[in-house]
This record gives sequence, C-alpha cells and structure tokens, in this order.
Amino acid sequence: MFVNILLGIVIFGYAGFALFNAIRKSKKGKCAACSLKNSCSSNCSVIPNQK
Amino acid sequence: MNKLEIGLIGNPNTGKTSLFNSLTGTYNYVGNWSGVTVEKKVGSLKEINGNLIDLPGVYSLNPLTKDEQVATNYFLNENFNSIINIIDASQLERNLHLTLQIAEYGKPFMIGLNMYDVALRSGMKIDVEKLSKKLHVPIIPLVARTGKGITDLLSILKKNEVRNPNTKLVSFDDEIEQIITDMMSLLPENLPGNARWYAVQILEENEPVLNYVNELVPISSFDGHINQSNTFVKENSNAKSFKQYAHQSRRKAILRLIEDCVIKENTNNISLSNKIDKIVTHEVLGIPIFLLLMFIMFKFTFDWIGTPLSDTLDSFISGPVTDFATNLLQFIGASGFIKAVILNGIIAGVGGVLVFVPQIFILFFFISLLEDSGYMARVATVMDVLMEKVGLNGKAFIPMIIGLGCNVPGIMAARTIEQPRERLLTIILTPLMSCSARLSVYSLFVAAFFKENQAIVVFSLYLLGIITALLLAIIFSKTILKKEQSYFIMELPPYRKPQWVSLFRSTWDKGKGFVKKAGTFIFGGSVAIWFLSYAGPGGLNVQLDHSYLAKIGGFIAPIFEPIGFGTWQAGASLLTGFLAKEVVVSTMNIIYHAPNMASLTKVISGAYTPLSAYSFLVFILLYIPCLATVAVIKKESGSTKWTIFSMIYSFVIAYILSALIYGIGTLLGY
Amino acid sequence: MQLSKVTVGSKVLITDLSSTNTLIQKRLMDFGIDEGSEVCLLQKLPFQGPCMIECAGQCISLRQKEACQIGVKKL
Repeated sequence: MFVNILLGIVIFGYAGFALFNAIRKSKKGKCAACSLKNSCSSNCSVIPNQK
Repeated sequence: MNKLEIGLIGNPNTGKTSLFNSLTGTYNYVGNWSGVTVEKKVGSLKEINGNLIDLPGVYSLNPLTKDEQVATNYFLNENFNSIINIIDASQLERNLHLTLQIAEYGKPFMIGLNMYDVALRSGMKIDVEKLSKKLHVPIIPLVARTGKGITDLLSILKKNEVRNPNTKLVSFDDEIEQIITDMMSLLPENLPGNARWYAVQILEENEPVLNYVNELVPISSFDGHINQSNTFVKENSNAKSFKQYAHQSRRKAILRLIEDCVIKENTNNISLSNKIDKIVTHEVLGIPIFLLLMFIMFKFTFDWIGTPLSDTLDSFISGPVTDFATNLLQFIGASGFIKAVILNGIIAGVGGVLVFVPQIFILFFFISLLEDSGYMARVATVMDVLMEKVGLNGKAFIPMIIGLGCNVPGIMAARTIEQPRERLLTIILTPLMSCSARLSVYSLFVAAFFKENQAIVVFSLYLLGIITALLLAIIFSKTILKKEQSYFIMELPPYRKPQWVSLFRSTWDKGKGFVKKAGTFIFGGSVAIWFLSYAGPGGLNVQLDHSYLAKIGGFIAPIFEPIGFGTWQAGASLLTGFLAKEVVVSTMNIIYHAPNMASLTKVISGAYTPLSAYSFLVFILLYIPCLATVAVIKKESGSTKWTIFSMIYSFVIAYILSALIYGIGTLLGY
Repeated sequence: MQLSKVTVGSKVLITDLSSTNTLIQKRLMDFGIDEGSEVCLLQKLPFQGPCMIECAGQCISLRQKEACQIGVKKL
C-alpha cells in the first residue's frame, strides 16, 4: 500500500516536473539552460540590429 | 578562490572545438565548416576551478555576421579573466589579424599554436620563443586532435602565467595617431580593455562597439574623427576606407613578425585536397556523387546496420526488461494502477522511442563525418547554384543537412547566413527537413507496410521534404519574402582524415540529446498520455475507446478523414506529436497496448492501409514543427509573426500533400 | 580582365576590388585577400555556379557574379 503511494508520487511527480521543465526551457530558449545565465549580460539572442 | 572565466577564440577551422574538448573533458559539436560552432559553449576546465567559454570562430573582432557578433559582444560585456587564442600554425598570416586585435584590446591572453604538426610537416619552422617575446604572451605549440601540448597549456593557466600583451604592435601614421589620442580623451574611464582599442574600432565602424560606446557617450561626438580619418586615408594611402587602411597596417606588422620569427615559409601543399575537389565538385558528377553518398548513408542507417540493431534492442526491452519489471512489481505488491502506468505507460512510451537509438546514432555519425572531413563546405558550394535559383544561399544547405539530424541545431546554424531575408527563409524552411525524431515514426511504419523497401520509402520521404522546401522557397521568394541582394563566400578547409575519437564524441553529443529527451520530456509525456488513455468521463480504468484520449482524438479525427486516417488513434497521436515527433510512437505504443515492436507493427497494419500509412507519414513529415523547434524559430527569427506563420503554413502544406497523395492513390486503386 | 574569365588552373594577381560589394570586400580582407594578392583559379562550377580560388594557402569559394567584379592581371 505504502509502496504504491510512494511509487505513484515519484512517477507522477517526476513526469510533471519533466514536462513542466521542458516547456519552461523551450520558452526561455538556450540561455535558460546555460550555466552562465546568472552572470551573462550578453544575451546571445538579443543582437541589437538586423543589418 | 574565485571561479576563473576564460574565453576561447580563434578563426573557424582551427581545431578550436577539439581544443575545447581536451581542456574541459565535456563534449562539443565539432564541425569543419566555417561557423558550425554557432553559439557559446561553456565547459568546466580540467584541473582548474573555472569555466571555458567556446566562442564562435571569427576572422576579426569587427563582425560581419550574427554569430561573429557573439564574440565581439563577449569582449564588450563579459568579465573574463583571460583569453586563449587558438591559431592555425599553417595559416599564420591570416590568423594573426585576430591575434593583433586581441592584443590591442589589452587583456591578458595566451596563444595555442595548433596544427603544429601540419606546419612542421609542410616544412615550416617557427621560433615560438621569439614570437612569444614580441607579443608578450605565452605561446604553446599544440596538436589539439591528439592532445599534445594540452598539459603545458593547462599548467600556464594553473600557474596564472597568462600575461598582458604588447598593445603597441600596430602603429598608424602620425595624423591618425593624433585622432586616436583625441578620441581616447573623450572615452569614459573604466572601459574594460584598452581605450585605444575602442578608438580604433570606432574608426573601423565596428557596429557592436559603436552601440556599446553610444550607451556611455553619444557616438556622434566621434563623427568628426571618423570623417577625418577616412579623408586622410583616401588621400594618403591606396586604401579606400579606414578599415582597409587598418587592415593593411596590421598586415605590415604581421609580415614583420613573420619575417622575424618564422624561419622557413610554409610550402603549403594542398594538392591532395585539390585532387579530391576536382572529383567532388566536378561540373557533372558533383551533385550525383552527393546524392549517392546520401543514399549510402540511409542504407547504413536502415537496412544494413540500423534496423537489425534496433530489432535486437526491441526484443531486449519487450523481453527481459519487461519481464524483470513485471516480476519486481509483483514482488513488491504494487497495485494494478502502478503496474499499468509503469508497464503500459513508461516502458511502452519511453521504450518505444529508445528502440530507435541505433538508427539515430548512425545518422548522427554520418552527419558528423560529413562535417569533420570538410566535405560539408563543398556541398554548400556545389549546391549554391541550385539554392540561389530558389531564392536561398548555398550556406543554407548546411542548416538543412544538420536539420536532418535535429531541426533545432539546424535552425541555429542559420546564424552564419549574412543576409537577413535568406536567414529568415532558411529558418522557416528548415523544419521541412525530416529530423531524426520523425525517423522513429517512419521506422515503425515501414516495418509494418514496406518491409522489403524500407530504405527507399524513407529516402522518398526525405526527398519529398527537400523538394517541398525548394518549391516553397521559390514561392515565398516571389511573394512574401522578395529577393534582395545576396552573397556567397566561404572558406573550404583542407580535407582532414577523421579523427575517430572526436567523431564518436560529436556523434554522442548530438545523440545524447535524443536519449536525454527520452528520459525526461518523453517520460513525462508518456505518463500523461497513458493517464489520458486510462481515465475517462466514466472514471478510471475505462475501456480505451471511452477514455479522455479517445474523446480528444475523436474530436479532431474528422479533419483527417479526407486524407486517409480519420481515426481517434491517429488524431491523438498527431496531437501528441506536437510535443516531440517521436511521441507519436510513444502514444501508439500506449494506445495499441502492444508488448513489443513486432506486435505493434501487426496491430498498425490492421489499422491503416499502405496508402493511408504513406499519407500519414507524409503528414508527419510536414505538419508542424515540434515544440522545441517552434521555440528556437521564435528565438532565432525574433518574430512571433513568422513563428506562427511557420506553424500554419506547414500544417496547410502537410494537409494538401497528404490529400493529393491519398486522393490520387485512391483513384489509382491502391 | 575579370576573375571569372580566367582559365581554370591559371595564377593571377588581383588588381581591382573597387567594384565589388562591400561585404564581399570585407570578407576577402578577412581572408587576407586584397589588391596585390596572388590567386589561382581552381574550379568553375557549371551553370554560372561558384568559382573556387586558392590564395595564401586557403581555398575560397565565391559566386561568379562576384568574381566578375574582381579585376585581375595574368601572371
């Protein structure tokens, strides 16, 4: 009984987390997944001008 | 001790990414075509507490393309400790242009003199110590491919022996120097890097620098200086702009350096590359050779190696793995619900995708081989004529080839296309390239319906994607994205014998994304889809036909009736395919409750006819880019309007083509 | 004469880049190719396709349309 609850929480919890994460990351783009994101100010996607 | 941050910069094709791999122990995407490293990559340095940032390959700090801007912006905005400048020893003159600009900037750096073996073999002798003294920075000869010299490089970093360079290597005429000094007094204090570098870059009209300085001091204050310098240059030299003048001055300085420090010149013998090129870029044989190579690639991916391996993996997952899981769950007394979610949801969904790992990796291996050998650049050249006729650029061919592996890096590779219209067109057309995720759906269906002709059927789908892209390029170029002036100029690096270790590494790097996706996103998706198939308006553990999944699928199914697959199962699968194309396979595995691939194919062959199966595959090929691709289109194009357009047009085209195929096929009696 | 009219395999000296487009000029400069540079025409692709040239140990491909605007002198 306890095992079922535990497994249930782990599986659905992780599944939800994985989905949520993937959508969040896609929205933010590459920079969200980058380890420099806290210190990086040259957001490589925001190039000021189209030439 | 603070974490070090070190930037890695160099010309394209200098082995930068090989070096990056050796220094960080993480893998990266090695490409032998100018500009494949299109974004910063961060790695954790070996033996040192710090990060190494791999910047895109650039020829100069004055950028011409979007990805070259990344490198310049890094200098302007990032707080780094030092730079490693990688140089191709056999191309010293050209590489030193970038080096001198880095030196002018003034922050500490060191040089990795790569391809030292190639230089030596061609008869070159470089006095490394003398060169190092002149530049004031340490220089380490390297052979990044084999790892030679890496320890010495790391030890310099460890002992913090990187030094401030000689910033005075290039001097201009007195009048220009006066202008520069004047400008320096107008620049703010505390600029990262040497004020003189800023002055020179402003005179060279370096756009990122102009933008950067403009935030601090109105750039119009330098208009006079810019005009003055250009006038002087036109009157007193044969240069037509300050930029050209600066280039010529640097060249003089470089030639002086080379004269002093290079003992024997490079008797560069590129005749083997030329011989190969004579065949591969032959007027008549060029394109057929390419098509033949592509066909062989597919044969390996399927018939010869891929499918046999895939079948083995499938038996393993549906046999021992499933048995083990069943027994384990039985043993711990798991409930029916838990058993169902694990066996019918997770193992079915994720396993169903994992069985295609062999084919995916083989495909990525060949793409890496094409890049690593240098052949990709030739393909772009040979294809330029055709691409130009449809309104694209030869360079657009590369993102599309990469897109055959995965659309996401393919679209990012479009950054190297200088012209905005061509770049945008490439971005919205690349999703038509059939990616490896779609491959898993094709594999499933061809095993069921076209067993004898798997490679040809799949090849036809890829070809259809390419032809559709070319036709749409023509249409779009004539209507919504009218042609403007365009350019094509590219370096063709010498052919290189592939280095197997780095090949396997780059294959793994591309492929591991697929596996990672399976363990996270597809895992989540499978559980969700399984749940929708398990629950319904009537409660839990309902009949499949009464589940939420069936209801949702049934709601959209009528749309697909005219094109051959108006079932709720098809509808539901296609809907879930938006998340990631391979989820279609996961969904089908869950819906059809099949214990393994063999029985799944049997079930599917009952649910479709060969014609409707092909129509379905064509629809999958084209219908809408997956979520990750939509996200990257948005990012790279910078426009919501074009992102939505790419989603809509692809759906429309998919529908039209499927309808045509199904309609005509039905008329012909299939 | 124009670079595009040169016979395959011959070496020429670049004399005039003034009619080429700015972007091409800048790129050529990045490759170290300027007026006064020696280049060899390696290949011309059919149907007005790109030319492949060799200069200073590098192999570069560019469109015939641009090669038309590069003035050269036979060596």
